[in-house]
Amino acid sequence: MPVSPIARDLETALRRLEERYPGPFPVDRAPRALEEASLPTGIDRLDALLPGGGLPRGALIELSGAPSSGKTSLTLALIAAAQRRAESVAYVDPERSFFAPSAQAAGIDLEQLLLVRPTPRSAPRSSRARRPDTLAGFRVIDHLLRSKWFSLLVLDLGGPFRPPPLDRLFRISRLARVGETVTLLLTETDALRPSLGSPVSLRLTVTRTGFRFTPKALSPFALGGLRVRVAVRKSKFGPAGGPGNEVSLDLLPDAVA
Amino acid sequence: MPGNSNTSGTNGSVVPPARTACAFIPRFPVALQIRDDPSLEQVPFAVAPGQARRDRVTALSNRARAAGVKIGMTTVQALSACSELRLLSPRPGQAERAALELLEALQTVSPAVEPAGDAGSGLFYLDPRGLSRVHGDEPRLLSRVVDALKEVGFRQVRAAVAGTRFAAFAAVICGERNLTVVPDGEQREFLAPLPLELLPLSASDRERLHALGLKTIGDFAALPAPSVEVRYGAAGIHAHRLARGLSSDLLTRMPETELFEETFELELRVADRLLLMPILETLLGRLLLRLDGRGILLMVAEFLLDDDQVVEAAAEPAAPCTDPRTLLTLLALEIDRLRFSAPVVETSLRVVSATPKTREQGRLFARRQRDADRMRRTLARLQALFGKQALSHPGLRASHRPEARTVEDPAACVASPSAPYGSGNSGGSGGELVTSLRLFDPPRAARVRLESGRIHSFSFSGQESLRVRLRFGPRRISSGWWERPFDRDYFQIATADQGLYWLFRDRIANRWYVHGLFD
Repeated sequence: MPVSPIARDLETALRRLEERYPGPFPVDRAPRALEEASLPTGIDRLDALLPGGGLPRGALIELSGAPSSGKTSLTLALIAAAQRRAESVAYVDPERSFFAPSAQAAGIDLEQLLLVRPTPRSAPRSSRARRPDTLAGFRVIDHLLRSKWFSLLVLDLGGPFRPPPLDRLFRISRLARVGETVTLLLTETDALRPSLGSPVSLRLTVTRTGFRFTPKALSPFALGGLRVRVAVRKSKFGPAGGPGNEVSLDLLPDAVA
Repeated sequence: MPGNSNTSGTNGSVVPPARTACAFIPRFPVALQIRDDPSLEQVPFAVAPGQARRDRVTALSNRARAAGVKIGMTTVQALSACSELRLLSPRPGQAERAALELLEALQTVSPAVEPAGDAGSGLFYLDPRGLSRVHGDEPRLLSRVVDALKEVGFRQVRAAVAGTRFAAFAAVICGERNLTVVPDGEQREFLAPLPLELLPLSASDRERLHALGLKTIGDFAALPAPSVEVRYGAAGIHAHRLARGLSSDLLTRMPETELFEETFELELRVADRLLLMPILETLLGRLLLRLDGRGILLMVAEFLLDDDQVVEAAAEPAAPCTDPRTLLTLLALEIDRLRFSAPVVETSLRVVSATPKTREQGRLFARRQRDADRMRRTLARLQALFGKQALSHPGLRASHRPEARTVEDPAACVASPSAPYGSGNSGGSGGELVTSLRLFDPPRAARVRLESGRIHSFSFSGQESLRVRLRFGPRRISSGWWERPFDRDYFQIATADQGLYWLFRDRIANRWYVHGLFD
């Protein structure tokens, strides 16, 4: 597992202190903080695919997939995994498509999640007049990154969106690196389309390979689960699974619709 | 035993009986609006947090009630029930300022005064002990309390004194007269006939007690304490002690209040709001010096205009803040949204709420130092940019209507500064990969082509027509009189282009909508 330079220097300093003052060392060495340069996804097969055994901290990551590819389900699972490690998470939702019952079913602690739904103040308050303002979403991400508080930030760009200026993306990429924040951009494009560009350090694509439709006479639910394939399309972090490698995952049936 | 009559102390001296006085302004939000604008007494009016269609009425005047308006109605429903209704939204800091005035008034009666709940409750506790030489007996003390509150402009005031805080509270709520004195040691008898709803019990516990035939506080007090503890836990035994007229709740004396306000009278009339900022900066500098390290939670700038109108702008950082730059930025954002009908002739800046600044212990060898104040400032800035509704903790609500199942609690972002986002609590208990729904809110209108009564294809949002491969449904969801009526048939649809959609037909309007996407 890769270790950041700061963690390496700190480890060296601690070792010297321990050599100088032998015996029980009264300082919490916080091994988790020292060793982890990645945020594990909680899905072993996916972690094995990712560089560093998880989502690299400080990386701008694009997770893309066509509608109904399973990318939202995967994202909610990533948030739940981060929360189980007591990491702080914010979800920026300009499209207003976040559905709390689904999030709870995925294991997310809703009380610990910051949900931001930016709507310009000049816009009418009636919900029908709201349009997803993805550029406002990028502004929110910019502010949240500068707070250096969150470990995982998700910007759900939803359907067709206006890509932000490249300098804005570079700025976000730099802020993510400085704050060691995993910044996940959720885009609704298929694997063949180009990504958001060079500021993105890691690009994952989600493709649905199958689903089950199992209507039962007495059940109101028909969707019996999805099978999805997650592939690494681009990685600036060197090989783990490496670009081109992929993993297949099964999603359980929807439990709330 | 608290609440009992005179007892001897350890040194043989007589300990005065525990007594608590309570002052209450019924329907405080309504009374406050009438106090600030007496002409409102002649018109029906309702109080709602905002003027938007979805905002709900939280308080209303007698005239509005008589016209058929009810608490909980949306503003649209309220206006349709009474076309003459005036909708009012509390001004920033209005309730806090009034609560401060009331506190100051009550402190002229007793040195120990404690507000109960938030600023909008209109409920205060006082310590009446040792004041007989100043005010006379307890009825006279209560008259003095009422007079003090009437001097602040509130006409209807109730007051009571009893052996416990809860008995005094029950007396102001349910007492037959505006002034009630519950004799020392008789609080249990006084409480006995009062309804069970006054006790701080959960709704489910209360239902269980009702099911057992217990209706009054006296019925509950008659239960054996060990059984109450077994069945209802710590909350139950606390309520049981209250019902028996026993309570260990102590009065927390409020620190002396100080008015933090600075005013600047302009020699020239200022029409350019940019010129106001240096003045505000000066006033804020003076206030921060006087606050001596205490953080500002709510600050209001008042501008007196040449046409005698007063315009207010509030800065409400997410946490106690002493940074003048942040405070001025928040104020500037609010001032930008104001409309000035005339040039400004006087400016004042008032700190409505301030507390000691919180500090957090940094952690050695943490991955990185996280600055909670910085995060809170970020949240305050985002709230100023996009509105308070934009930031929330999502929550769940039981509703048949899918779009109503997600609730947003904007206040929580500010209300929980001590435990913000991932500060130690672990996440939920799930951890399984489940198929999630992306909900379209509002639902998107769809054009549906039916063949032999079955959905053949559909299109929405200007997209090409999507051919249906598999369908399942309908699953009918409808509601009754308790909410806006709706009646929908939902279908789960798999399209030929791999999409998994959630469609419904509005049976009332006979229209089709796409409500979401399984993703």
